[in-house]
Amino acid sequence: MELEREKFNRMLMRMIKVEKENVKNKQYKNREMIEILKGIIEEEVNREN
Amino acid sequence: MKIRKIVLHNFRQYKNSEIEFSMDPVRNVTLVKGVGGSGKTTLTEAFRWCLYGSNAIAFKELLLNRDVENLLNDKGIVFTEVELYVEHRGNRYLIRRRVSYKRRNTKVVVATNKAGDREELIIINETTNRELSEDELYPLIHEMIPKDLAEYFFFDGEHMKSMASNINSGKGKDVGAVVKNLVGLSSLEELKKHLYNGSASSVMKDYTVDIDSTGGENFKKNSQEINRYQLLIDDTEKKLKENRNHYTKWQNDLMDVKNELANMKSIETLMAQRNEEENKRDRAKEKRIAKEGKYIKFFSNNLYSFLSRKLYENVLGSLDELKIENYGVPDVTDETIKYIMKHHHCICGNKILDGSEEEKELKKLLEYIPPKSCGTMIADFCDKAHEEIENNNEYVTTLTDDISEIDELRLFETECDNTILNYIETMNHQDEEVEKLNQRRSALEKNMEQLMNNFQQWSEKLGEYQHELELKETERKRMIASNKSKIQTQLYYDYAKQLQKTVDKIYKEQESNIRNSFEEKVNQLFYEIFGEKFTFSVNNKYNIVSNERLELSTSQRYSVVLAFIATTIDMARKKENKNEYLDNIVNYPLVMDAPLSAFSKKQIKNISELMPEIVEQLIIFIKDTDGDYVEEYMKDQIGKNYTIASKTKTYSYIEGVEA
Repeated sequence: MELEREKFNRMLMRMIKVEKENVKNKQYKNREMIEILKGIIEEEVNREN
Repeated sequence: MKIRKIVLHNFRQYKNSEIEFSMDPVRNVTLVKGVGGSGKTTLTEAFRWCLYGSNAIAFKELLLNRDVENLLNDKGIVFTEVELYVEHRGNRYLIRRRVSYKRRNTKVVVATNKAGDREELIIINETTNRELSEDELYPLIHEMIPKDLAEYFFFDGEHMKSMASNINSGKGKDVGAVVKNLVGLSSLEELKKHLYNGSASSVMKDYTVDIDSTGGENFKKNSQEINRYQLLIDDTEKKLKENRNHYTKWQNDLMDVKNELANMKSIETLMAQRNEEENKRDRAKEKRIAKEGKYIKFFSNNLYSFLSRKLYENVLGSLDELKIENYGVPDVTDETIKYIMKHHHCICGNKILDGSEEEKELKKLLEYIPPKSCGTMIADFCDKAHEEIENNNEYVTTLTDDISEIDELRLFETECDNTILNYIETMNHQDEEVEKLNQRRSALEKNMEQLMNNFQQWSEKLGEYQHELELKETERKRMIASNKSKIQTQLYYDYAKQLQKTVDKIYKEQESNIRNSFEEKVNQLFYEIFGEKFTFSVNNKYNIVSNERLELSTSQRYSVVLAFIATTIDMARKKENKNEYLDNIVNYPLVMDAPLSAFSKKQIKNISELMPEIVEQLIIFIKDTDGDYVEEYMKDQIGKNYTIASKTKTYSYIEGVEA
């Protein structure tokens, strides 16, 4: 299946944003961050354009 | 973050002291001068202790003031406390750390609080008038200045010394993470790791496990194979990358060496001429030694004859005068005569009768023929003597000729030695440098050739692994195509993989840009501090490595450390370095227990002019004598100025002077 550029770019920018926040606040541990990133991927993949 | 004030209570030699720091954006320097041992380092430690606790400071004994400790009785309780008043992201905070002490028997010990804590930390947001909860304390401090960066921002002489000792070796502590954090690369690095982290847990690993868990043994096996090839690819790519860096460095080094050798071409010519001269001298020496050997042999072999010559001549003369004839009969001895006389029969057939004339003749012969033939012996001697005399005619001439040839060779050798000495003087030890450069060139060329062979092998291997990986991935896609839920998970995986690739690419670009700018800035700031140009490079641990072949002096090393700190702060502050991929950075103050004694007056001036420009807030604790210079050079930047008054070894306090 083809990847959609728009979704991909949105995922990337959202991921960078949450990582930046976490570098600043150290809110989440590794496992939590992995789950958040997976959440972003799944949400964007399933989003109706 | 900016620091407004520090208040110390019973903290080592400070019973009750406070320092207000300059918050002025232009006069951003606070200067605190003190004599040696007055408590400058204690002040730097007070910052670290207040923010991060006992583990962050080198001092491991009781922090309590000695005078207070001595007065403490069995029932009393006293405390050591440091308060920091700071401004951070538009809010004012009070950070207070306290440790209490009591006397147990004769010893003073830490008194824990009700919760069992040895130290108490509280933070009050003075803007909102709210005390932060326990969970909020360290995240806020981390946001203000992360602990692993603290040693760079609360900076003392010991730290400078340890950093300085590692320059050149490239064996310093890995500060890559710290610098990357400062310049805003941490979030990209974290994201990369969260998406894919080898065999450790990651987004990609989760999706793979998810698909495998419902797919049976074939999926698991396929997944293991994919993982194996991916790890091999990662490992090989890493090896290629690291060694490519080595290769590039060696290539640059080789170019430098070749340039240096080109600059020393005249020395190389002189070296070649010297070598030629040495060869000529060595050949002459070899010839001379052979000649001397021959001479000695000839001399000793013929010496006896030579010395006997006069004797021979005299004897021959005397013999000539005596005119002794040789009556000997060739090949006949006395035994022959005796035999004839005994048998009374001559070899010619005649009988020899007793008393006959023949017998008388025979008896007469016995007086002349061997062994009694003196005439024969004399004749033989004369022949030998003539021969010896003849041979000796050339002895002196030969020896004289030989000696003159040996002398000529020796003279030639001396001339060669003088010429060689001239070359050596002209070269003035630069030939040793050329030798070293040539050795380095050979070593570099050898290493590069070896590495090229390795590259070839690794690249071939990489191609093989990539091909295998593609095959396994195609196989996996075919297996997944039959199951709808797996198709969905595979799609998530594909996104994750593409994201990981993209983030990796962005990270590499950003990191490379930052490292190049970092290197450029370190070199520029070193020049501004030290006043002379040297070149340094930044390795992958963000250690500064000198490209100079000479050993660096203490002031050069300290200049590098200051250039490193200044570069780090400058890069962190620079707005133009920021983009959507990098973290948002807060400003940090720089608190320096400044060891400036190693610097010249001119260099202290350079540092005094540079640091306030780069740092938003600069707090300097400095030895009084160096401080006088700093005070003079920073007069337009100093906002607050203090002196540490030291009454006794256990009691210091701060005397303020408004700038």
